[in-house]
Formats: sequence, structure tokens, C-alpha cells
Amino acid sequence: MSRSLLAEKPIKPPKELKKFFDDPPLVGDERREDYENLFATLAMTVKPADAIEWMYLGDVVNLTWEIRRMRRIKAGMINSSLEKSRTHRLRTAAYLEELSEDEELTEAEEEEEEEEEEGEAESEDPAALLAEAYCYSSNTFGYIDAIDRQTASAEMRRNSALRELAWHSEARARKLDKASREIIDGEFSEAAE
Amino acid sequence: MTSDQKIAANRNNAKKSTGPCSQAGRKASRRNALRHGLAIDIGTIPAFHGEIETLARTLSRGRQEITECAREAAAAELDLTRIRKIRARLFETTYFADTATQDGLADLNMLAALERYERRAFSRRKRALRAIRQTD
Repeated sequence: MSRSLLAEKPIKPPKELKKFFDDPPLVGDERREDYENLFATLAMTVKPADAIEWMYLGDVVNLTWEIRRMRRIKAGMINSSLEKSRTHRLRTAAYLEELSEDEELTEAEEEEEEEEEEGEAESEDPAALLAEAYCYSSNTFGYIDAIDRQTASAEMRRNSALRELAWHSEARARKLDKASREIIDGEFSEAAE
Repeated sequence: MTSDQKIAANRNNAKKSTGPCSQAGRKASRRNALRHGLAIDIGTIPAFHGEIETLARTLSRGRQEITECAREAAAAELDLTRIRKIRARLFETTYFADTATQDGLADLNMLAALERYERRAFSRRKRALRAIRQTD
């Protein structure tokens, strides 16, 4: 949370709506405190003016939280594959080393081996490792695909909530504009009389 | 084509299958088709009536009577809250509980299928809230 936003006094939802935000849908090791921080930050940014805007703010917070959760899960899956792939590589390397120790190498073979090792060092490129991790655990493709679809759906819903929030703020501003014009016009007509 | 004899036998057998007879059996079987209860209109559940009215009153602020739009929006908002909680609980039991199932992908797809209830409730609330704003 940015310092300037934290310094301000947090905006709280009206009493009638408090119960809707009191029990956030958390799962696993998600911390309530983090959720509340996100809520407070977005509330300070938007400064909802009425119940309708609070409702949409609640949507945006929930969906932002869900998107973060999905991204964390996806990153966790890829990291886990990466770890598995690394372990597999190390095991293979150890096995090959064991084999090579058993046989005597000629000079030409030693040179060849050195070249291979250099080549291996080159393939330690993170992108290549990541690609290898993907290939290594192809059984996670279905999971990653499902996670991506859910993330995309949550993003769509969040954008929709943001559009609604903007629509309601504009409608409120238009009403405010109309009401203030009527007051000004009324004053002028009174003065003219 | 089914013979008359077979039709008669089927009818006779059907008479024997009358479902659960005891009070407890009937009560239990009433919930057979219930999976998550998200398809049920929240407005028809008496436990939510009070909350719907309270929220509808908040949304109808400045008016003497609670409008139908406010009631609709309140019901949809409560529905959204309920759906999100149920989805989170399912997510929790699927992935974090000791009883987590083996077929994680099928569970993940089932969770995605539940999103349609959330989208429906969102659209219902959107229409009702716009109507409230326009008649303000």
C-alpha cells in the first residue's frame, strides 16, 4: 500500500453494508489482514459515495483478490515443474557421470565431453529451463489452461464492475450538475423578480 | 415394439416403487438432487428475507417505499455474497483440506462451471442498480 494512502484515515463502508465485507472469501493460507489492506487501499482511491458504489468496490476487491490467487497458483505450478525438471536433470547428470567413471576415455572423447559440458552451461538459459519445465510436466497443461480461463473470466468480471462503477459515478455527477444548475437558475430568477 | 404383457408387468412393478415412506426417508431424499443450492432463487429462501429487506431499504434511501428494483438488487447482492462464499469453501475443500480429491483438474473445471451463477447474479444486480440510479 502506498505511504500517502496509508497516512489518510481509512474510509469504512456504511453500517448497513458492513456485514457484506466482514467475512471475506479467503482460502488456504490467505491472510485477512492482506485482504483488508487491499480493500482499504482501493476504498481510499475510489472514495465510494453511496451503497451502490460500495457494492461495486466490493466486487472489484473480490475479483482482484481472486486474480492474484489464480496467478499465484499458476506461478506455483510452473515453479514446481521447474523444480522437478531440475531434479530430473541432476539425477540424469549424476547417472551419466557414474557411467563415464566406469569407462576409460580417450583424449578425443574427453574433448567431446568438455564441449558437451559447455553446451549444457549454455542451455542454463532461464527461458530454456522454463521451456524444459513445461515439456517435462505436460500433465500440468490442463491445470494451467483451466487456471488461465478462470483468470480471464475474473478479469472480464472485474472490468465489468469497473465500467459499472464509472457509469454510476458519472450518473451521480450528472445529477449533481443538474441540481446545482437548478439552484443557480433559481437564485437568478429570484434576483430578477 | 413392447408387448402388452410387458407393459402390464412394468406398471405392476412401478406400483411397488413408491420411494421412501418414512418421514425421515422423505426428508433425506428431498435433498437428493441438491448439490450446492446455487440454482435456487435466494428470494424464495425465508432465511434471507430479513436481510433482503434491510439492504433494499438502504438502496431506497430517500424514498418512502422500498422499490421492486431495490429488492431485486438486494437479493442479487446477497446471492453474489453467497455464491462467492460457497465457491471459496469448495476451493478450500478441494485443494487445502485433508480430504482433497485426486482429480484436481475435474474439480477446477467444476469451480469454473460455478462461475455462471455469479455472472447471472451480477447481471441481475447490474440491471436493478441502473434502474435505481435512473429513477433517483
